[in-house]
Amino acid sequence: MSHPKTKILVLCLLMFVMSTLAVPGLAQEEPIRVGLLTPLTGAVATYGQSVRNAVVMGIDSINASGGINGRQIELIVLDDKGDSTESAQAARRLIDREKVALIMGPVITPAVMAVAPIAQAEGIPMITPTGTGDQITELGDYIFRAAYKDSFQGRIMAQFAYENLGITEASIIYDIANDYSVGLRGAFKATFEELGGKVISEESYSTGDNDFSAQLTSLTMRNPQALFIPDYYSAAGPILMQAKLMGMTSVMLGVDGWDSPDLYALANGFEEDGYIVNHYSQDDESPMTQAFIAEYTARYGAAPDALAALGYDGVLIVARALEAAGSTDPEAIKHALGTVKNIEAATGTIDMDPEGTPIKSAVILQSKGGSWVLVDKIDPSGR
Amino acid sequence: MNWYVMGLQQLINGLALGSVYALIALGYTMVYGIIKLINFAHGEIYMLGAYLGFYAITSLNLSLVPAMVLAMVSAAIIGMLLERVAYRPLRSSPRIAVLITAIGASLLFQSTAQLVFGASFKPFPQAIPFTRIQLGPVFTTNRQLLIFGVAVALMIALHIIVQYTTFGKAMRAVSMDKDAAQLMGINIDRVISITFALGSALAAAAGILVGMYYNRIDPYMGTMPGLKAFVAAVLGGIGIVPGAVVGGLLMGVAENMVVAFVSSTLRDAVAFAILIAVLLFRPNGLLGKNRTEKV
Amino acid sequence: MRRNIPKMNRRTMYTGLALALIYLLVHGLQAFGLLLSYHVQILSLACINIILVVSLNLINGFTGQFSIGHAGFLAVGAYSSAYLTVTFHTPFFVALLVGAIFAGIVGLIIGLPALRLKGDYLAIATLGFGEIIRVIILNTQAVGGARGFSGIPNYTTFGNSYLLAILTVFVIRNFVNSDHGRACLAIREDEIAAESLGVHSTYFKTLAFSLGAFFAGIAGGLFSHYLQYMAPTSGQIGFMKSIDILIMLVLGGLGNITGSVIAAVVLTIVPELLRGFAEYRMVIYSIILILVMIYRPDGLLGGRSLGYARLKNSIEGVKAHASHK
Repeated sequence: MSHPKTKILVLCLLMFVMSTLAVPGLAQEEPIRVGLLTPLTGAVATYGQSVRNAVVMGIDSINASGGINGRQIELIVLDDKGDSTESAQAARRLIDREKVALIMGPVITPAVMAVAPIAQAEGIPMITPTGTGDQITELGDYIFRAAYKDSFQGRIMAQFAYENLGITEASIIYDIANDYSVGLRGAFKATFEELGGKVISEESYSTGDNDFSAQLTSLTMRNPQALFIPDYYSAAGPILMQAKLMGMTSVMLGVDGWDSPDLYALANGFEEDGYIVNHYSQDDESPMTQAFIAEYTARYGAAPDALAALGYDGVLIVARALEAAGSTDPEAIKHALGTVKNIEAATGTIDMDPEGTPIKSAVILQSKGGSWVLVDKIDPSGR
Repeated sequence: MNWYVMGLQQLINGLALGSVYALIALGYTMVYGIIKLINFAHGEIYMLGAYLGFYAITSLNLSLVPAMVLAMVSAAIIGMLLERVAYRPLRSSPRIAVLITAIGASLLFQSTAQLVFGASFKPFPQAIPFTRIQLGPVFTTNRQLLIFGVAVALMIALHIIVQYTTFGKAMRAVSMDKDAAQLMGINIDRVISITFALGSALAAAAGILVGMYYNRIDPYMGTMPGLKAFVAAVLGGIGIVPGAVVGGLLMGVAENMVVAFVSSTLRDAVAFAILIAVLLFRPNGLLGKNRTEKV
Repeated sequence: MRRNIPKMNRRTMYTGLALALIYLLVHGLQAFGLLLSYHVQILSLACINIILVVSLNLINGFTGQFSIGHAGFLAVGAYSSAYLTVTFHTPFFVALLVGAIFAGIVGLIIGLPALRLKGDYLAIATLGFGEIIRVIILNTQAVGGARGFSGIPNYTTFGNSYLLAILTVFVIRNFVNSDHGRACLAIREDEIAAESLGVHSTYFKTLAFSLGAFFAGIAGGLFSHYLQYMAPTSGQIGFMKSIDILIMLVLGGLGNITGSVIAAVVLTIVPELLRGFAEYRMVIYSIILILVMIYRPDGLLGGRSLGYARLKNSIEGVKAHASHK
C-alpha cells in the first residue's frame, strides 16, 4: 500500500464511489417538484419555447402568491428535442432521479406517445398541455391533457363549414406522417359527410415536404368550394402560398396549428378567405385571456400563440389539482386532475374529466387583412 | 378531369422542381469530377447561402442581386476553407476517411446553423414579385422560369469554362490524373481550391433562389435536396456538367409524376430507387462513357 | 495448480469472471439505491448501442465495405419483433430471433446488388436502401404507418441486453479471428489481390454484411421493446440514426472491437450527463469526428485492441517502473 500509484488509484475509486452517492435526494419535503418536457431545440423548437415561456410565467406567478398550500413549486425543464427517444429518456430521468410529483408535457403527439406508457407504468400523472391526438388519453388513467381532442376540432370545423359557410363540396390536403394531421382529417371527413357534404378529393404529403405543386395542381383542377389544411403553420403556410399561385379560389379551412406569428409571412399572398378553429383568440374579451396576453407580452416581448396559452392553462390546472390533492401522492393528484372544475383560464373555462380530456370551448377565427378575427365561440357540448 | 392538361401541368411542375436539383447538382458534379469526393457538405453550403442571402436582404437591406453576389462570394470562401482544412490533409488517405470527414463537415454546418440561426422556419423576403404566365391551359410562374433559366445559363457557362479555357483544361487534367497533372506543372492545390469556390458559389445562388421560391428556409433544408442533387448528378453522369442539368430535370419530373399519380409518401424513395437503378445498370450515368477499372 | 490450466482457459475464466462481476455490481448498486432505474435504463441502451456498433464494425471496419444504412436493419428487427410480440404474443427471445433473421435476409437481398459497388457509391447506395426501408415502413399500416407503432411491451431489461451484447461481441470476435474473418480482412486490404488469391470476395462480403445486419436486427428488437414506441423518422430508423452509429464506430476505431464497446458506452452515457448542453452536442461531435479523421484515423484509442497481452505488458511496465524507485 505504500506505492504512490496504488494510493492514487484508491483515492480515485473513493471519489468515484462518493460521487455516485451524491445522487440528488429522495422525496423532498419542501418544494413540490414538477417536471416539464418540451422541445427547446430541433424542428419544433418554437412550439417548445412558447410552452416553456408560458409555463415558467405561470409557475412564477403561483410561487409569488404563496405557492400551493404554502409550498413552492420547483419546475424542472428538460429539452426533449421533439424526439421520442430523447423524450422517453428524459421522462425516466424526471421520474427516477428528479422524483417529480407529476410531469407536464411533452408537447408534440409522437413524444407524448413515447412518454405516456412510462408515466402510466410508474404511476406518475402526466398532463400534456398541447397534445391533441385522440389516442393519447386512451393510454391510461394517469394521462391527461389540457387541449381538446382532434376529433372535437375536426368535427367543429366540418360543422362550421357546412352550416355556417354553406359549403357542400370540400377537398382535404393533409400530412400522412403526422398523427395530428391524420386525426384531424379523419374527424373532419366523418362529420362533413355525416352532415351531407362531400369530400371530392384528398391529397397527402409527408412532414418536411416543401413542394406541394403536384398535389395542388390536382386539387385545383377539381375546383372545390373549400380546402381543409389540418397541419402546423410551417406546412400550412407554404401550402396556402402555393395554392394561391395556382389560382385556387377555394375558402381555406384550418386548425389550431396555424396559429403562429409566422403563418402570414410563410403564406405570402394569403390574407382573406380563411377560417381556423383555435383554443383562444386575442380578441376574446374575457378578463383572464386579456390579463394573460398582457403579462406574456410584457415579459417576453411578443404576443403569445395558442400553444403558450395552453401551456399557461396547463399550469392553472396543475395548480388547482395540487391544491385539491393536498399532497404529492400520485393517486391523489391523479384523482384531482380528473375532477377539478371551473378553472378560469386563458383559453376559456375548463372542467377536467377523468377520461383525461378537458371540457372546454373552442373558437372560430377568420382571417381578415392579415390577422385573425373572432367569429364564433363553440361550447364544449359542441352542438 | 382532363388528364392531358393535368399531365402537362405536372410535367411543368416537375421541370421546375428539377431545375432546383440541377442547380445544386452542378456544384456537386464539379467537385466530384475533380477530386472524386462526394462533398456531403455541399447541401449545407446551399443552406448557408440561403441564410446569407436572407440576412443580406433583411439586415443589410441589399436588393436581390447584390445580396446574391455577397452570399456567393462568402460561400466561395467557406467552400475554400472547408477544402483547405478538412479535405486537403486527407488527399492521400483511404476514401472512407474523406467520406466520413465530409459527413462530419455536413453535420457541423447543420448543427452550427441550428445554434446560430434557430431551428424554426424563416420566411424568405420576397424580393421578386411573382407573376403567373399562362401558356394555354397550363401555366408557369416567372420564378420557375428564372430558376430554369439560371440553371441552363450556368450549365452553358460552366461547360464553356471546362471545355474551352486554359483553366478548364487544367481542371480536366487534374480530374484525369492528379499526379501527372502536377508533373506537368499544374498547381493542383489552386485548381482544386478554385473548383470548390465555384461549386460553393453555385450552391449559394441555388439556395437563395430556392429560398425565395418556396418562401421558407431552415437549417435542415440542405440535407434531402443535397442527397437528391447528388443522385441527379450520378444519373446524368458524375463529373459531366450537362449531365447534372439533364439528371436534375429528369429526376424532378420523375419525382413529381410519382407524387402526382402514385403516392406522395414515395417521394423520397424515388430518388433512391433511381440511384440504385443507375448504379446497378448504368453506373456512368446517362451521358457518361464506359470506363473499366485497370488493375 | 495455476501452471496446469492452459493459458487460453485461464483467460476465458478471467473474462467470464469480470463480466459476471460487472453484472452483479450493477444489480447490487441498484439494490442499495445507488443506481436508479433511470441509470440502469441508460446502461441497457448502452448495451444496445454496443451491439449496433460492433455489428457495423464487422462490415465497415473489418471488411472495409462502407455502409451507412445500418439503421435500416435496426428498423427491420425492431418492427418485425414488435409486430410479433404485440399481435401474436410471441415469447421475447423468439421474436428477437425472428426479427434478426429477417434483418439478415434483408441484408442479403440488399448486399448482393449493392456490394458490387465500391467506396462512395456503395456508401450512397446503402444510404439509399436504408431510406427505402424507412419509406416502406412509413407506408405499412400494419405497423402503424406514419403514426408510429405504440403499445410495444417493455421486455428489454439490463439483464437481457447485457447478455446479448456479450454474445454479439463474442460471436463477432470469433468470426474475425477465424478463417472467414481473415478472408474479410484480405478483402479490406486489397480486394482484387484477394480475389486473385482465390478469396471469393462476393461470398465473404455478403456474409459479413448479412451477419452485421442480423445483429443489428437483434439490437433493433431490443430497442423497440425498450422504447415501447417506434416512429419511422430519420432520427430513429433513418439516415440520422445510421450516422449516429457511424460516429460511435469511427471514434472507437474501425476494426477495433474494444474501441467500439468503449465508444458505444461513452457516447450513450455522456449525452445524458450533458443534457444541459444538448444544442452543442452535435457541433462537438462533428468537430471531433473531423479531427479524428485528420489526426487519428484509427479512432481515439488507436489501432490496437486492448487485449490481455497489452494489459500484462502495462502491468509489467508499472512493476518495472516501481522497482526502479
